[in-house]
Amino acid sequence: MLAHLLSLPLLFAPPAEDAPRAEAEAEPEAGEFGELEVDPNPRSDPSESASGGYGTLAPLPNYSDGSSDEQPAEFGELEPTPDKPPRKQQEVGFEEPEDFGPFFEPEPASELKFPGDAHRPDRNKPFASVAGGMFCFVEDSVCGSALIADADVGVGVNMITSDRGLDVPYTQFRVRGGLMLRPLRLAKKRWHPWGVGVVASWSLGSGSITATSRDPTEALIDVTETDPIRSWRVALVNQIWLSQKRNALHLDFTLGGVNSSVLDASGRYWGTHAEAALGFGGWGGLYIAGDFLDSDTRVFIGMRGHGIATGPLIALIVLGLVAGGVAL
Amino acid sequence: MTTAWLLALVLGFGPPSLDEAEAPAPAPAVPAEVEAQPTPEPEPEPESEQPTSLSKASAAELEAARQPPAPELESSGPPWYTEDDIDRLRARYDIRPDPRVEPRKPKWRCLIPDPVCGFGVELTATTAYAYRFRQGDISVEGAYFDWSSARIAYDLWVNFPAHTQTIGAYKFTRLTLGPKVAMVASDNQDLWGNFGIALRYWFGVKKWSPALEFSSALSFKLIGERAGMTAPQRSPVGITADIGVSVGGWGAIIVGGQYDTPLAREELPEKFRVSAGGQVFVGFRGNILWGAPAAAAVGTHIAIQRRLPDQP
Repeated sequence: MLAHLLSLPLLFAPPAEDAPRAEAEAEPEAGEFGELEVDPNPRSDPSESASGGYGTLAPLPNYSDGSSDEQPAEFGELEPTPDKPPRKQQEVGFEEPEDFGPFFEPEPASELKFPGDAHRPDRNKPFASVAGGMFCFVEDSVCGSALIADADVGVGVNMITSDRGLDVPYTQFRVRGGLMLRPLRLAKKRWHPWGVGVVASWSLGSGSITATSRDPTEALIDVTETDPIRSWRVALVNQIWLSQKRNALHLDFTLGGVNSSVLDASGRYWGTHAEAALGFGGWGGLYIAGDFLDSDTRVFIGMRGHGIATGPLIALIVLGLVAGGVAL
Repeated sequence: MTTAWLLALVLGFGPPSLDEAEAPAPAPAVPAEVEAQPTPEPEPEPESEQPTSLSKASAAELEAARQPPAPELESSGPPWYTEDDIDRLRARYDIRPDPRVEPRKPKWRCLIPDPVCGFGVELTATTAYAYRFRQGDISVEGAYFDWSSARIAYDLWVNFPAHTQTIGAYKFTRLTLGPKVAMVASDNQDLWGNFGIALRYWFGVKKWSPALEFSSALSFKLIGERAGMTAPQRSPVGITADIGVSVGGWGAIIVGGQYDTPLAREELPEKFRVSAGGQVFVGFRGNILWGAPAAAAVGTHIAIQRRLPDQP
C-alpha cells in the first residue's frame, strides 16, 4: 500500500534529464564501430543564447589578437562579417635576437618613462641621423652607419725598449675621424651588435728623453728631449654593442698602423697601433691604447668625446689662449 | 507515514525543470511574503520589451545590438581600466592613491640637466679663483712657490641615471653618474687634461631643485710654457676633485683641489724633472648653453694670460 502511494506522485514528477537519451537508446543507430552512446554533434538550439540573453548579444570583448575576427556560428550565419584586410606587420617593435643573452636584450617594456624623453631631440630617431638611422653623425645602437669624429686626451708612459732612452710619462691630445658600418644591421634590416669601421687619427704628444749618443756602450749620461711626438694612425675597428638601448655601451677593438717619429732618429717609421675602448653611445668613450714602434712604445689611457661636444670646448680654449696673447 | 505521503505529493506538483522551459525570463528571487504585499507597479523597463531569444528578434534589432560595440572595441586602446578602476584597485590593496602628476617640459630639451630627463650630455664651463702652489728646488731649504691665479675648466659630462624616483606613471632622475672629460687652463699657458667620473644628486624633482655635484678625475698636464715657448708637456698622473651645490642644473658653486704628481726620478736630469704642485679653488661652474658661464670662463682666461706675470 505504501509503495503504491509513493509511486503516485512520481507519475506527476518532471521527466528525468536522460529521457532523450533513453529514447535514443530505444532506437540505436547502428554504425561501423557499433552503437553511439553519445551524440558527437549535438544540435544547438538557435533560439538559445549562449551569452545569457538579448543584452549580451554582441560578442564579448576579447582583446586578444584575432579572436574578435572569428564570430560564433550562430552569428556568422545571420550576417557574414566582411573580411578585414590583413594587418600590417609592425616594423619597429620587439625583436628577439638570435644571440639572446644578458648583453643583447632590447630595452625592456615598461610603463614608466622619463617625462623629458618625450621632448628629446632623439625621441623618434637617433640624434643627428638621416634616412631613419641608416647614417648617423653621432653613433647610436640602431644606426646602420655612423660618422666618427671625436677628440680625446690621454696619459700613459713612453717606454724606451732599448738602453738609449728613459721611460717617462707621456701625455697626448688626439683627434680622430672615420666611418663605422653595421653590415648585418644593413643587410638583414634588423638589429645586430656587430659593427666594423675604419678610423684615422692624429695626435700631438710629449717628447721622448733619449741619449744623444747612439753607441750602446756609452753610459746614459748626456740625454736630451726630442720634439713633441706627432703620430698618424690608420686602423680597423671592430665594434660590439652591448645592448639595443639608445646610447648603449659598446666595445671597440682597434688594430692598425701608426706612423710616428722614433726617439731622435731622422724620418718617420711605421709601427702597430692597438686600442680597446668602452664607448658611451656616440658621445664619449674610455680607452686604453698603445703605439708599438721599434725601440719606442707608448701606452696610454684616456677619454674621448664627440666633436659636437668637444669642438666648442676646444674652440673656447683656443680662443682664450689666442686672445690672451699666446702664440700657438 | 502521513508526512511522507504529503511530501511525495508536493514533489509531484513541483515546477518543471529548466530544460523543458522555453527560455523563461529570469524571475526575481523575491520571497513570497514580499511578493504578496501591495507594492506600486514598477514602470516597465525598455529591456523588458525586447525579445528574449534570437528567433524573436528582428533584423534591425540584431543589427543595432551588434554594431555599436564594434567601433568602441576598434578605437579603444590601453589602458584598459579607467582611473576610477585603478583607484579602487589601489584602495583595495592599501596602496596610496595615484598622484597623477602632469610633468613639466624639460629645460632645453634635456640639454640642461633636469630631473625629468634620463640620459644626458652636458657641457660646462668653470671659472674659479685658484690658489696655486709648487715645490721648488729640493736642494734649497724652504723652496716653495705659491701665488693667486684662476682656474678655467671646460667639461664634458655624460650623465646616466643611476637612481630614479617613481611618481605616478613617471620616473625622475635623482642620481646621475657618468664619465667626464675636461680641459683645464690657468696662467703660465698651462693646460691640463683630466677624465674621471661625475656625480649629481638631485634633492628634488622640480625645475629649480638643488643638487649636489661631485666629480673626481685623473689629471695630467698637456701643454705648458718653457723658455717662452708653448709646447706639449709630459706629466705623471695626478688627481683633481671638486664638490659643489647646483641650482636646477644651471650652475653650481664648487670647491675643489688638484694635485700634480712630481716626476723626480734620480736618473733623470734636473731639467726634465717635474715638481709637485697643485691648487685649491672655489668658483662657479655652469652649463655653457646659457652663455654666462662660457663668457666668464673665456674672459677670465684672456685676462690671466694678459695680466698675470709668469710664475717660476
